[in-house]
Amino acid sequence: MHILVIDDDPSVGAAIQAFLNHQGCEVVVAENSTLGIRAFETSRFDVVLVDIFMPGTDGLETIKDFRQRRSNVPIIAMSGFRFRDQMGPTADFLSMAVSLGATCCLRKPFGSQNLMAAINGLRDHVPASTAIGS
Amino acid sequence: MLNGSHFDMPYESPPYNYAVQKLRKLQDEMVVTARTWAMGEIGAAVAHQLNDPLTALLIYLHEIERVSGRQTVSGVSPLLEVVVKAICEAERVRGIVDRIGHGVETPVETRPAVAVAVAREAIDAWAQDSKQNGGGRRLSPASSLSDHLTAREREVLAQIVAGASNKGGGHHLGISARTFEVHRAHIMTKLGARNAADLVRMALGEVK
Repeated sequence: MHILVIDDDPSVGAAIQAFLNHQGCEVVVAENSTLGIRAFETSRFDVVLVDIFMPGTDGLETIKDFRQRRSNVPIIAMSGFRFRDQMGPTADFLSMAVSLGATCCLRKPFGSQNLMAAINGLRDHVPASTAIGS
Repeated sequence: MLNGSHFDMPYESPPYNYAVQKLRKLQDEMVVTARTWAMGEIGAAVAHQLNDPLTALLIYLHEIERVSGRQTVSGVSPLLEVVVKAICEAERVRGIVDRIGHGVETPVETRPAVAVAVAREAIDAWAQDSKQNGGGRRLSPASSLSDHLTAREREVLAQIVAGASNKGGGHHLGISARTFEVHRAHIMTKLGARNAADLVRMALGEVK
C-alpha cells in the first residue's frame, strides 16, 4: 500500500513512516500541503493522512484541493484543535474536515493500534488491499 | 421630588439584604467559573501542543515492543518487560493529556446565564416587595417579618425566640439539630440579622 503523510511535525511523520514501513507499506512524508500535493501529483497513493492543524499551511484547504482534483483517494484527517464544550459541537475541526471530504478522522494523540484501525477501516475504499498489522 | 417608589426604598430591609447576599454569592461563583473556564482553555492549549510528540512517542514505543519481542529466544525478554511497562506509562500520559484537552464540564448552576437569571429574580423580588409596601418597611412586628419566611422557617424562628437551642428546637419540631441550624442560617440571611440576638430583637418588635 502506498501512503502519503502530510504533517508539519517531522517526528510524527518519521514515526508513522517507521511503523507503516514495517507493516510493508511504502510511505512518503511531506511537511506541508504544497509538498504534499506535489507528491500526490507525481505518484499514486492508496491513502492520504493529513494533519489539519498545520500553522502556515492549511490542512483543511489541502483536503478541499484533493477533492477538487476529482480524486476519490481516502483521506484520513489527523489532529485538529478541539474547542471545549462552550463552543458547541460544531467547532470541532475534525468533524469539519469530514464534512469537507475527509473519509475519517484520527484524533491526536493516537498510537499504532488507532492508526492501524483507521487504515484498515478504509479497506472498503481501497480496492485490492490487504489489512496491515499482525 | 421623584415619585416615592425607588428612592424611598429602605436599604436595610430584609428583602434587600437577601438580594445583596444572593448577588454577592453569585458574583463569587461567577469569578470562580470564569477562572475555571480560563484555566480549562489554557489546559486545552497545552494539551494540544503535547499531541504531536505524544503521538510519535506512542508509535515508537510500539515499535520497540515489536523489536524486543522478536529477540526473545525463550521465555520473556527482560527488555520486553520494561518496554511493556514504558508503554503503560505512555498510555497513562495519553489519558491525562486527553482529559486536560477536553477539560472539565462547567457545572450548570454556575453558568453565567443561570447566575444572572437568579440575580435578576432576587432583585425583582426586592423591587416588588418594596413597591407593595409603599417604600417603607419597619422591622417589627414579627408578623410582617415572617412574610418572607417559609412555614418551616417561621416555626424555627418561634423556637429561637423562645430561647431553644439547635438541638432542643430541632427535637421539638421533629428535625435534626443540623437541619434546625440550616433553617436558622437561612432566616438570618433573609432577615439580615447579624447574630441570634439581632434575630430575637427583630422578632420581638424592636426597630433596628
